Amino acid sequence: MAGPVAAKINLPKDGGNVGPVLRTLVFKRGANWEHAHRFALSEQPLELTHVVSCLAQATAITGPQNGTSTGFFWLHVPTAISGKKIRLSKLQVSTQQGTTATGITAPRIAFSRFTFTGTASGGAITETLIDTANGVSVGDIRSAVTGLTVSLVGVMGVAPFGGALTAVGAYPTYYQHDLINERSDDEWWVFAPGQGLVAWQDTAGSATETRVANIAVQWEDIDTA
Amino acid sequence: MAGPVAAKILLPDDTGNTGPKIRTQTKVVGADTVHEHFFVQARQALILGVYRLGMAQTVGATTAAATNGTSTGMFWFHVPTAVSGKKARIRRFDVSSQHATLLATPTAPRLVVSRMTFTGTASGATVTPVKVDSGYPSPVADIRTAVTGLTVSLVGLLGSAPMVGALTAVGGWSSPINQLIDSSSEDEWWVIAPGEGLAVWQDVAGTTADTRVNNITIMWDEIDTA
Repeated sequence: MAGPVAAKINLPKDGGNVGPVLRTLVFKRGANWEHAHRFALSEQPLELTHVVSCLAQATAITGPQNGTSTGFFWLHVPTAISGKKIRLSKLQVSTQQGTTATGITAPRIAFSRFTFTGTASGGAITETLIDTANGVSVGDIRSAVTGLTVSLVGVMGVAPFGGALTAVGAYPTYYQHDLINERSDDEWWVFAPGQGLVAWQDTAGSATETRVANIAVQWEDIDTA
Repeated sequence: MAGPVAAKILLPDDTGNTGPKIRTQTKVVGADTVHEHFFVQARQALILGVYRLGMAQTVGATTAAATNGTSTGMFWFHVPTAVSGKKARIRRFDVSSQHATLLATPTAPRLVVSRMTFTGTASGATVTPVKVDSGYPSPVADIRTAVTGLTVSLVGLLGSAPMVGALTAVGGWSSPINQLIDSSSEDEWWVIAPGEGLAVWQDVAGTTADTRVNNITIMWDEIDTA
């Protein structure tokens, strides 16, 4: 197939038109002044609200968690919701050493899709609207899974902890992991009512574990009615 | 070439029109209230589904000896030859590595991703991916942690990810991420047709009794090519 060829479309003269005015930029190319349209970016679904939640530091543990009864948090859309879903557009994790304790194991945080039954009653984590004019999100984050019976679907992403072979020297600049490409909204993680995301440590840590993880998550509610 | 100049196009009067409506927003610029169009990003390909998989650390375990990608390796991602009218496109491939024990690791192993072709039907252990949206169909791409049933021919390397190391078993370490691909430009994604795949393997030897581990995340979409 031949490559694209520079072209132009000649419109009728608009000097006599009295309707809407279309905003453009003109570029001089050869003998012509050519109009380029201006666009405002939009997304395919109807967005209802945008939320950020920057969680308290999560401390690694010695024994691994299982995501169903133990974990760091459960973000979910209650089954009572209808006509709305949430889409995660950002998920960041960085880790730090919390004390001079060594960290000679390789724990990591796994983020798993899950389905559930029940109604959450564990400790609620308050999310923050990025625009206070927006409505409250249907997304619900809990630091304990109480009230939900969770079935894991699969691991969508992982974020490792750093460590220290011996308690000597400075630890390297903590490491930040962007699990979602926020530039491509067709890659965002979609959760319908009855679905959610759990953050849990799927690999054991050290006997005395003080490493910490800093987790931030951003999502939007969308209208699916 | 001269720089762009703010301009406008006057449209005919639309007040009597009763047809489709085009969404715009208006701004007042000088004496005019001007319209700007809205733009929704669309992919050139018809996307059937988007999938992700965070691999278990056991899949990405570093080995003392190098592997070869054809009979030994970490995993094989492929589109079976029986599939038609569909391809997979790798959008993201992330690797991070960690120390798992108090071990000096003064070697330079790396994880590599090779494009491959194959014959046969896979029968090795499978790994099940996760749909980004539960409404998507099951993927046609097939991931195996053993190459059993496939006869693999490596085509070439698409990328590599070096693993962490320790000259002596002292001090702190971080877990830098290696993003072999992470792009929102679909013309950069790795396209895998039926009969093609990726072999993920370690092409450089590690340390004796190496205990380093790799955390691998892969994301792809599947498109209609019928």
